[in-house]
Amino acid sequence: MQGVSTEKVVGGKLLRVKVDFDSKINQVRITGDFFAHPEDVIEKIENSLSGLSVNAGEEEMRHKIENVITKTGADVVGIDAASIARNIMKAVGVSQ
Amino acid sequence: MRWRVIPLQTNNAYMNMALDEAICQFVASGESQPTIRFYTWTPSAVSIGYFQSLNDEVDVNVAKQLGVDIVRRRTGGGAVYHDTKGEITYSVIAPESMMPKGIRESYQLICGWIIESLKKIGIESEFKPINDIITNGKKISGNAQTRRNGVLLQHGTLLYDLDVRTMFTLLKVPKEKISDKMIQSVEERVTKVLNFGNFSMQDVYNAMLEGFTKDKEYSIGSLSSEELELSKKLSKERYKAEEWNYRR
Repeated sequence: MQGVSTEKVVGGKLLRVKVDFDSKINQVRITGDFFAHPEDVIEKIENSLSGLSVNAGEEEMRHKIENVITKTGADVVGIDAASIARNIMKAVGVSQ
Repeated sequence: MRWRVIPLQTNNAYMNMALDEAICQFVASGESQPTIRFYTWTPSAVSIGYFQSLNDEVDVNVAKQLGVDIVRRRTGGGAVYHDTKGEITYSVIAPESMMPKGIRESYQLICGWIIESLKKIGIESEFKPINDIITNGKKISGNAQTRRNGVLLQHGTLLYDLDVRTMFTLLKVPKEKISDKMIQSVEERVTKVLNFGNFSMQDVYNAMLEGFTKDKEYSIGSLSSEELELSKKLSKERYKAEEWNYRR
């Protein structure tokens, strides 16, 4: 299945999350007009979420994303871990 | 450190983006001075942000019909319609050590040079975080930045004229929304230099040249043959490639 969720982050930028999933997340695509450098942090975030249960919960996803951002030492401007996690949950049809 | 200023030139979209990347590489290796360049886009083009999906943002068929190029930038941010006669674009390429460490602070510094340029032609404007410049509450300049290999690249546009209708046929907004009402609302949010007086492109360029070089040591320069050679290669192998432009 595929799901999409789009949000204009308050005080930030447009975020669109596309998720290919069954009981687990197969692939996440994060797009939008935000900024991030080094840029590959976004791919790292996408990869870190593959294989995660769709029922993992927003908190766990947010932690995973935050860990990638911290480890990479990246600057992400206009979106954040919470907005990505929130939109993944919406895209897979789980709202909390 | 002394700046190199490359005067206004026009290129196609692929070459414009390739030149920025090539200059970044040569500034990173210390072979080129920090550089400020000014340019326009021929043919007109749409550039999309590094993280955008081309198919989500641009009507590719309309772009083909109108002969408008589409290119993915190395910088984040949104899709921009670069009309050949509608704007002047600048790039600032410098070692990170010359710039404020913070993203917002460095945007503010370079955007200050545009504010200074606009002042030269009597337009008062201000920086609106994250990356815009507004005048009377309306956007007149959009900017985008990235940092790689110790080098900061910021490029941005100063709107000289704006063809809203063409912009909205190219950018993916549902067609039914391109009503007069919507165009009016964009014109309420976006403005252009021509709304402030009968300035020529040359007037605006002269103002930018002054605004960007104020209080700097600089010399007017040109691209090295090595930079040009690398740009041609990057233009062909990266910026024209579907692999790059459709990667998201």
